[in-house]
Amino acid sequence: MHDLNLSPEEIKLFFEEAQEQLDIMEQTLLALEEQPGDGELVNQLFRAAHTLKGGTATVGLTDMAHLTHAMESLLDQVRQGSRELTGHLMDRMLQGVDVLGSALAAVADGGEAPGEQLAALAEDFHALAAGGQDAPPAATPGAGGADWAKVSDALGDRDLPVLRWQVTVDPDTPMASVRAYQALLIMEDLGEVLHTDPPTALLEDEGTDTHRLTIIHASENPPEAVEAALRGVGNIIDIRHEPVAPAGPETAAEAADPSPNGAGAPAGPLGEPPTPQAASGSGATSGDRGVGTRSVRVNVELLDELMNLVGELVVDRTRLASLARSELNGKQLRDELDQLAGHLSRITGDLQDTIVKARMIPVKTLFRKFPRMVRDLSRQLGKRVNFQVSGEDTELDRSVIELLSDPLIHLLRNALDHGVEPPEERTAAGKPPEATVRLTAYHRQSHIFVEVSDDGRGLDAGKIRRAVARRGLMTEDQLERLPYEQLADLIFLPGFSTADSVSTVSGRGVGMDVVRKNLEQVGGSITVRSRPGEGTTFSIQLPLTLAIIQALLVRIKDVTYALPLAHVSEVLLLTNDEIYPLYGRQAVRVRDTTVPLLNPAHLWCEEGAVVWAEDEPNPVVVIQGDMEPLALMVDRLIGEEEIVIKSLGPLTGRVGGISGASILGDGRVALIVDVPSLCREARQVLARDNFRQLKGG
Amino acid sequence: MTELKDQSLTVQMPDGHTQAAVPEPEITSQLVLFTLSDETYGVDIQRVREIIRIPEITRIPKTPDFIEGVINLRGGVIPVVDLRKRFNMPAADQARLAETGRIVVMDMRDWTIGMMVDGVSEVLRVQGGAVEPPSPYIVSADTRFIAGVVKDGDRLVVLLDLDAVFFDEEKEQMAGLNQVEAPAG
Repeated sequence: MHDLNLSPEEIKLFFEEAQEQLDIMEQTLLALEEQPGDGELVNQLFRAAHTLKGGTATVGLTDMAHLTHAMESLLDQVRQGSRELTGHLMDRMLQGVDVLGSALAAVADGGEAPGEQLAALAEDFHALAAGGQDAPPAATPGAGGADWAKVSDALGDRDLPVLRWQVTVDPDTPMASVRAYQALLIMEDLGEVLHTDPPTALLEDEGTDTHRLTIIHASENPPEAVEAALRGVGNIIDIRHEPVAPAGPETAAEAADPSPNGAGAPAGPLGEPPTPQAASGSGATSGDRGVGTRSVRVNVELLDELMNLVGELVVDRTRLASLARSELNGKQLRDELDQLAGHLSRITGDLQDTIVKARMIPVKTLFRKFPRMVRDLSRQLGKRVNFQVSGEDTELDRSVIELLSDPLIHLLRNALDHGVEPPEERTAAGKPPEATVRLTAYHRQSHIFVEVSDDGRGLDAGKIRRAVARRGLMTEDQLERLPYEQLADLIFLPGFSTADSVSTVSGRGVGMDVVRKNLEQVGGSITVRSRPGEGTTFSIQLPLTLAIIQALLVRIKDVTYALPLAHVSEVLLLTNDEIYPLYGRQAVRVRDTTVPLLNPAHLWCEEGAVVWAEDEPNPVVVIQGDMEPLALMVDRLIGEEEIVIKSLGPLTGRVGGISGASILGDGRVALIVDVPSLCREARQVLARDNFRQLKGG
Repeated sequence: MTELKDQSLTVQMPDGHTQAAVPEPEITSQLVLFTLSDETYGVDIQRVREIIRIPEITRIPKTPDFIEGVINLRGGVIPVVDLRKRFNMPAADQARLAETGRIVVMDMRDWTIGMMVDGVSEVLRVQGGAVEPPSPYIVSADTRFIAGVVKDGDRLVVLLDLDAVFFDEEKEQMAGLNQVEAPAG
């Protein structure tokens, strides 16, 4: 680990905030591409760079601080109107953000920032900044230039007196800027330099022969002490200071500021920085760069509530302990315990609700990395895409959000690579050359929906048929008769790929089956709607939280299984003569349909089949995956229970048909059945057996 | 045996996973020793969360033989690996296992995993220099699971490479399948 000389909490906070600033920079850059010349956006970008510079400098990541500083200087020129944010500069800026992001991730992982790369890039930016000196780099000397928003932003919550200092060096001094720089160093020692005019970059590089220096300075030191220290520098002929305030004299300086849009209009009192993103406290950062993914900001009220509930739990614990030691017996004891159990169940219920609330974060923490990805990818593919994101404020459990990341990357890549046509093809088809790709999140009842849609060419039925037929999963005749919607669903078949050659974007044949499997493991589902020539929509449906589900507990052999109620359509008690033969297998009648009857032994319980009693009704659970229902034989029905899902840890994923485990009231472990994957597996087993029977005659 | 973990640890271990089992010279480490058949094995005490008696184990269908199942450890679900099966040793005598058998609960990367062993004997202080590379002739466990051998008087203690025990070869199946492979870019 880089020697940061900070407490672990401070380090964590720093990484989160730095990541946030980087995200803001990236988003603002992307937004500027849409609305070039938007002064507020430029200011926002500048502020983010400035904040990041301050942060990295504070923790001693000097290479990163230098690079952000160089970027900031360039942005300052843009802000002052002396430089245009061209497409080229935009690319460089995004490159800078990328390099900073990977450096940050490297340090967060305990490594070293790539110093040379950072330095080289900083050099480039400095050269750019110095090369474009055709316009004066700063506003009229002495005007101050610092906007209040920036000042209050830099100060954050601290309540420090802020003064504007004007230091004048004897104009006849050779290399007056060196004296100015010395003065600046003193100011840095005695407080925080929030702004200088001319910019520090110029002073440091001696690229100016200024003799007048304006410094916005926040310090706890009395002005007299600062002034005395400044007097120590030779050749200084005049020192003045005046307080800086949000209103008043500052607004005059604001008016003189040539940057567009009034350069971050005066914004509120100290401690309320006007950057909307920074202030919104949007929770954990995106996992994209691997920084700060395991922490979440929680509303203090929720924490208080949790604390209260835990307090009540502690009281109950004491009560329980005293009951265990008490002389009570029989009915008295039972009554006491009953009362206690009632209280406990209320508290645990409240705890559950509160925790679920505390785990909710807006989906924008995930969505905000996609505009950049779509931009880069569409450029790479030579396609024109208008990317629209909506529903970013929809809240989701953080575990669900983490889980969504990979599927969404996959779907967006698919949309851009396969869905969206190149501009010429679109024009030829009578569509606007620019395609629209939408990413939408919304709530409906107890589910969250996340959709990725494009107005591209739609799924190619011919290609799907060929790909399925090639794998011998269905005959061409069957495929011909399949309606388009069902045909579209076949893209979720394991190993399915229509790609004739592996493309660099969608690449390597990671299929939609993996996406579906991963979503189903947590009780979600994914469906596709497509119309040839009009586009494709993938719709992901997820439960609000993954932690707790209603389940039907059953016993098979000596293991308890939990069947999520969402996938249980009914429970039947059937006698032996209610079983019908079906293609050499067994089936039962459920109302008017015939449903294949499965013995778990055929699927996963090698050790022993469920054996039916001859003379009494036997329990059967009708389960429903994403297609037709199946009837599952079980040994015993236990009942419905609300269960807490626990991951099987390193085992998860390798166990087909099992998605997790839960601890039951008696301390035993129940295995949670992954019904959709079980049903799919059953279909394959049945199809294979049927095939064998047909072949064998 | 659970008091083992309560000993205060003042030993500075080098970072990293497998390195932890083969300390650098001049560095002392503490090993928790346990037995399998008549052999003694050791793991770095810093990885050991606790040592428990063998509770009821729920077998999980369609898992490899050496994964004994999962247990409930104070509300957490923890997979248990049968080390004898992992090392292709004959199964332990059930009666003996019930008597002395233990599960050594280890912190591995992001997970907690239990190792089922015949018995846990003691904690051994080791000077880093005492660790030698494994000889394929002296132990029955597959050498790929072994990080080194420590001589303690007449006795040989086999240091396990826990990453190999839990993740080698099965790495993909144990860790990879539950993640969507990142599409190429």
